[in-house]
Amino acid sequence: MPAIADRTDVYLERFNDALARFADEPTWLLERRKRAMERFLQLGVPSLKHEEYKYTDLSALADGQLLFATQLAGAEAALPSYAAGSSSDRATGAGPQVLGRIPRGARVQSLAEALRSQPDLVQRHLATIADCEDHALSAVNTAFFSDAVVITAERGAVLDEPIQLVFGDGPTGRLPRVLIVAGRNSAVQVVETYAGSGTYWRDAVTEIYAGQNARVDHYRAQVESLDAYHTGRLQASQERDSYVGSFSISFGAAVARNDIGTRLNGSGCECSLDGLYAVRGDQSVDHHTSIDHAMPHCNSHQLYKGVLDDRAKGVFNGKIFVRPDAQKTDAVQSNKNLLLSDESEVNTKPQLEIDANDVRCTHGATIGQLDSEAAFYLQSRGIGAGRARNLLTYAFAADALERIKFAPLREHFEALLLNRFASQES
Amino acid sequence: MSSAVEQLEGLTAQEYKYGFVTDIDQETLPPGLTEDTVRFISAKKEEPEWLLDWRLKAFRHWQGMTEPTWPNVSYPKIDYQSISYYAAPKSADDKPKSLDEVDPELLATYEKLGIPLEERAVLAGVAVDAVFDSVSVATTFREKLADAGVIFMSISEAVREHPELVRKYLGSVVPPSDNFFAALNSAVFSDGSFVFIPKGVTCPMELSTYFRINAMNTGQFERTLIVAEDDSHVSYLEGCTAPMRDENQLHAAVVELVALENARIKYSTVQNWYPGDKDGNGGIYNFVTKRGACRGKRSKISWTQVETGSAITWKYPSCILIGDGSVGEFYSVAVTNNHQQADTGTKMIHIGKNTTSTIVSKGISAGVSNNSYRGLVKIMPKAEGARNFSQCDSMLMGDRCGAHTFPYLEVRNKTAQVEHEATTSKIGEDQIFYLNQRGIETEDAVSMIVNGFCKEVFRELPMEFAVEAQKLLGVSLEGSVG
Repeated sequence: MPAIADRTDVYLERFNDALARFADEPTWLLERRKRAMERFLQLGVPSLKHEEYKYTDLSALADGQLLFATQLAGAEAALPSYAAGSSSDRATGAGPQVLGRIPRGARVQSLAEALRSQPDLVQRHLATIADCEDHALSAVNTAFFSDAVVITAERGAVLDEPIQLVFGDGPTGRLPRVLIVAGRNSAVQVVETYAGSGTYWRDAVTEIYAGQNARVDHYRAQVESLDAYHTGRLQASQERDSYVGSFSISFGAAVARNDIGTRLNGSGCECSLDGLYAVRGDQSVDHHTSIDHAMPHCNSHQLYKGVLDDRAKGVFNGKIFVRPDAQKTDAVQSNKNLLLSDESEVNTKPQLEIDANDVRCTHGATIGQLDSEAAFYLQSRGIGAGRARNLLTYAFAADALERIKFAPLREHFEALLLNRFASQES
Repeated sequence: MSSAVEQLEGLTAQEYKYGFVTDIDQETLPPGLTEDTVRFISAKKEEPEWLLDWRLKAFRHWQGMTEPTWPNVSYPKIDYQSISYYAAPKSADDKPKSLDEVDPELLATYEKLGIPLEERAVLAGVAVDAVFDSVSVATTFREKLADAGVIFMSISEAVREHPELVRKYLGSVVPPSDNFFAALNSAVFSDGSFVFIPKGVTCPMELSTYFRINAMNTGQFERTLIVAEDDSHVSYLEGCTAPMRDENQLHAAVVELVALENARIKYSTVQNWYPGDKDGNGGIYNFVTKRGACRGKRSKISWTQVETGSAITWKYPSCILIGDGSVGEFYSVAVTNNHQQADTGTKMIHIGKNTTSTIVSKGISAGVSNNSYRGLVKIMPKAEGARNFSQCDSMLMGDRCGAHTFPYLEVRNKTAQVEHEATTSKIGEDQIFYLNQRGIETEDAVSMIVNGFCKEVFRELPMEFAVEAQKLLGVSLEGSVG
């Protein structure tokens, strides 16, 4: 189809321009970028006809305008309260703001720094964990990202405080790339916050490598501008006995699409992929998760909750693969949705693909509305309709929010939910 | 547990019990599919002009379609030109007036299947419209049904005797252009059953048709149409077995149900076609489109299926809930063994207010088979107060089999309540151990556990079918151990 080919030409042109910028990079990285570009040109921006994208319309991204256009100077985006702290003195090049103190045993580097001090590690993991073969959007990031944040935790380092990354306005932050490498027996917490103003497309990729017996807690808070497109990918690769926890908060963006996945490459791994999305107006939020149980004796846990108001649309697709050798797998998945308005919409598809026999896999999905009797009870106790709605909505989302261990983050979004319908208070 | 493995090996070693070929001369069309084939079938059945046009339209549409590739099944490409599209027993021209006149060899076939027509008809009070390949050869209890005003006949006869009814409803639920296999069926459908229950009538007996694929290399394309007028009620049973052979056989049926105000249709299937041998050779390809429309208020359509046969099953009995307060139900047991592949499930489309649907699906995989549940629950914006409950459980009996679930839930109305639950687990070793310890052989224990697992579905089957279903599970999974 020539029309589409013409459109991806913009990407190719941009890529050829960018090659000069990448001249200093090692050959292997350049090769990976070229391969990603090649793959993207084959795949194109996914259309609604693509089974994995059938509910999320990304056609506005096809011509790349939203990604490449330099943004008009506008009001700077207000950052969430927990992220408003002072930035650390670590310079990270064109990357994000890094908040707070860098804990002992951890390093937060720009790509250039990391390539100087630990080139082997970067080569081993960067753009190999999040493959681009079937992910057109990750391919765009791999082909174009200008800088990456490389977070490494030394062997045995237990970081007591989270490392906070804030991706705000500005064209350099359109293609955030993060690589987190947790060494053996280490424990890392990372909070990524995405906020902006205006109309743009942000295409983020985060890769996590959890070494043997490592523990990674990853939080992703997406509070983009309500006119923005946000596509995010989080892909983890786990060694034996490691734990990866991901919590995805999606409140912002006109259209948000998150692909969150982990591969359990050793036995005894555990992972939990959780999330909360609360959208209104004409927002659309789409979560695709994928847990690949490649080895025996692994546990996975997923809890996604959604609150949808006005004409908002929520999409959830959770895939659990259990490979033939992955005996004794225990996988639990749950997706619960609350519809607050007549025109809101939910499409959910929990998917199990099981090729081993000695496993326990369950999934559940529910869609419903607020209990009118509970609301009536609260009103009979003198609580206004709007506040009653807030309380019940908060109660619905509470057990997901409780899974956030970083208190300032949790409290911020708890407050946001509790005050959601303040305007309707009567 | 080694005994479980041995058990499964025992089960897999079992030969297909119903494998034999009946020797009756057949009038068979040479392989190939062109417009002439369609014309030949239509002429052979002395069909009116409108039906021929309808078939040709479907055929032309089919030519422009491609075979779906999305199901989670794999099979060698089907050459639609190497299939013969018409076969009828030779004695079709002078149809038997009673059972005594029926070809004795045919009756012997039914004997072997364990369904002696007269015995079943007399003792069980069931009217059997048996389809032996393409032409119905025996219809019983026609008169008793006629007294009640029920029309139950082969669809070819119905085209002749009640053209206005057939024309009104044929293709109204599954349009000829619906999907690849439905279009193929619409073009070349051979025969099938037509049921019409007039207003206010409760069908005096359970209607039943036994289909049997017999002629070598003949795809069978049945077309079933059931219409239940206001306040009527019918229960329809469909069961099938097929003889053993090596070449794959294509089977693409279409079933359409129409329920008007307050009508209730219960459609039960026991499918035990030849699944292929234990190396995956042969077996039936079963690509079926089944759909029911609850057009009237408070109407109800209930699908119950026990699927143990076929090399490949591709089947999604669906309900379109248009009338306010209408109810759709789907109860399914799908068993796959050896190299069988099943991609089956249901669609519940809620359009009317206060519509309710229930889905209970039990999948059992053994050997190296693959069993997929694929379902859709769709609540349209106008469907106030819609309610759905789905449960899909899978049981795995072997370390090389697969179980997959692909449930789609699409909700566009906030008053909807939709729940979906699925579990996958191994057959409980502790349960087998407990039963062993109580003096029950492993074989019986497995049978007991499996039957317990499927109980919610068997409960929905008519009594005589429930017995047969349990036997079929026995054939598919148990038997040769001990």
